[in-house]
Amino acid sequence: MNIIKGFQGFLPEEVEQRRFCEERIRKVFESWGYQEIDTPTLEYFDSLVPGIGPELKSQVFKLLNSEGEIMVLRPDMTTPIARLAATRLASSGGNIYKFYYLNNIFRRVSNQTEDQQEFHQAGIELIGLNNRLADAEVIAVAIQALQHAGLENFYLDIGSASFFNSVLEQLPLLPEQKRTLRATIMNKDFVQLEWLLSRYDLAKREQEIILCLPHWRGDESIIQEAKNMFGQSNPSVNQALQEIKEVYDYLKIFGLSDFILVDLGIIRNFDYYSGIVFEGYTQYSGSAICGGGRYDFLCRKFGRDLPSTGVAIDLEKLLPILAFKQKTEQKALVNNRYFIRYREDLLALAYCLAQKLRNENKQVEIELSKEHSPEVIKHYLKSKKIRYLIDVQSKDLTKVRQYDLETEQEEQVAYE
Amino acid sequence: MNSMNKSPFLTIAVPSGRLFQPILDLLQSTGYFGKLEYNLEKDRHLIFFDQDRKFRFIITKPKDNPTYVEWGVADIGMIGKDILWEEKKDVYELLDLHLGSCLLVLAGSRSKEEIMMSIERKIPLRIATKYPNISRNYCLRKGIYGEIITLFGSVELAPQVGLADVIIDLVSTGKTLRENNLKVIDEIASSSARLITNHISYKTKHEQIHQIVQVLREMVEQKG
Repeated sequence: MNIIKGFQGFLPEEVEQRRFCEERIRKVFESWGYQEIDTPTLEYFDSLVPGIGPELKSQVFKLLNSEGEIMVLRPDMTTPIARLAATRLASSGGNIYKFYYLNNIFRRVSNQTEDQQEFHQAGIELIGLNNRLADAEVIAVAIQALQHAGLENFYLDIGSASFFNSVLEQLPLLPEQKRTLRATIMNKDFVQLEWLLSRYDLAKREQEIILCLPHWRGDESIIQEAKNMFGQSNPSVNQALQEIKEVYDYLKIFGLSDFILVDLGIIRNFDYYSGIVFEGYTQYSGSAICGGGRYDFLCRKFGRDLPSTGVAIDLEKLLPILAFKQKTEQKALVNNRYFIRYREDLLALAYCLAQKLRNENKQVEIELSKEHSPEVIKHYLKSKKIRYLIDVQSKDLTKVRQYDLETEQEEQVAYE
Repeated sequence: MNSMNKSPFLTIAVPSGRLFQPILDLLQSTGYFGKLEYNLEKDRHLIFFDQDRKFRFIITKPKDNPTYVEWGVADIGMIGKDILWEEKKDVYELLDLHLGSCLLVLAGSRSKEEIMMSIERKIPLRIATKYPNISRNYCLRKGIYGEIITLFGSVELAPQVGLADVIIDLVSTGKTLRENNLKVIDEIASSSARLITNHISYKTKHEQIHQIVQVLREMVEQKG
């Protein structure tokens, strides 16, 4: 049977792992006052396209409806949420919206190593505020969500999308040259970058500033160093650095600065980022597990000026790192799972007992076939991690035989 | 920053094939990597260490080299630019090692004028190559109506037996082309070995990788 490349089905154990993680993340999001939001899976290409940059545009799944109009599967959550916020939210000024989502997104990834095309993301968007405390809060929520999901030894690097642009703006170059430099940096091709810079009419110092960009990384002292190097002559660079410093200071107040490093060379591929950007990573994964930042001009493209910031956690990146730990946790039988066998004429009684236990928040299964051997049943119970086997053999529910698969003991239990 | 580097050694992906020995010689000549002993002819194991066991070297098929780096199982790699163009992996390209320099060319047995004429007339040009992605991009850029035939090696054979009109391939001395009666029609790009790194390794093992870039850069510049 063929399935579409990059779209995967998940068996219960696999779904269970993701849900386990999602539920813990959901609790964190809700504990900070974020509310769940949902967007259509399919939208008109025209209604999303103002917010999708060229990088994402090439990865969008496109479909045609019967009128020949182009529809797209949402390629991220931030763009549709921005569209929803700009078009549907009450227009009274000064409102703050805190949204979270646990959803799937679709991207046509041309890269051969990543076969996957459907992804699961957990994230938040904080809409309606442009200040550094809001930036810091989103980062703090991301850290706590990763912690509660069970991740250890991770870091978040914060930088600024406007930092590099401001450095670039200041250079005495033609617009086209600036575009080429930007594209080269986006491609992370520092060999080409060096070659380009040597051909452009730039002072040695200016060349070095650009080439050093990926090395501007470390604790907060980096900010001051960078200020000394670029700041004096360029107010917008100075401002970008000041913003990073403020966010860092807030995170210090929250007691989270151990998780934070400053990276002025952060290159995030989406075009909508306008201020603070960040990405989270561990040494166990070759790519970032979460990322986000400020996107103040995205909602404007959909008709309303709403400064915003957000983060998305990639569950496909996170889960494999957590998998080993969870597997050992999940081996144990589940205490509130029951299986009820019954004498053939006692189905009504067994059913009553099952309902009673279900009302007590227990997970109860009734034997659905009498044709299975005890071995088959035992195997089934194990596979479902069911702890208790109840055998209803008489009408007297005060003396029910109950087998505990964990202790391998049989006991007599009184049910009303 | 090295505090987060918990694994005891840095993993370096080296491609087998023509670049292997030049790369090993370059690493050796810096003195930074200690004594490296591996004989591509005799040895069959694909992982080896330096004498002080500070670095772990893995030997990859050239084309696979950036894949190991992209996934982060190797922290750094060394590979020809032609492969990076072709494979388009998400890796940081840090340094031109100026090793194994060669040209990526369009070559054929017919004269340049003849080929150009048929390109202008939009007659489909059959191109045999090991680089389908590069070839497709080249055709797009030049407005060539190309039909690409992907081969795994000995591409020079294709025009001689009528499988293709032209080839897109790497040329270092031009000897193979001459012996197979092929002439260069267009020079597409020049390629040489590059030092690449994984995005996250570049963060978590920054100091070590930065040092390696410095020592290699010095050595490369010394050689001129």
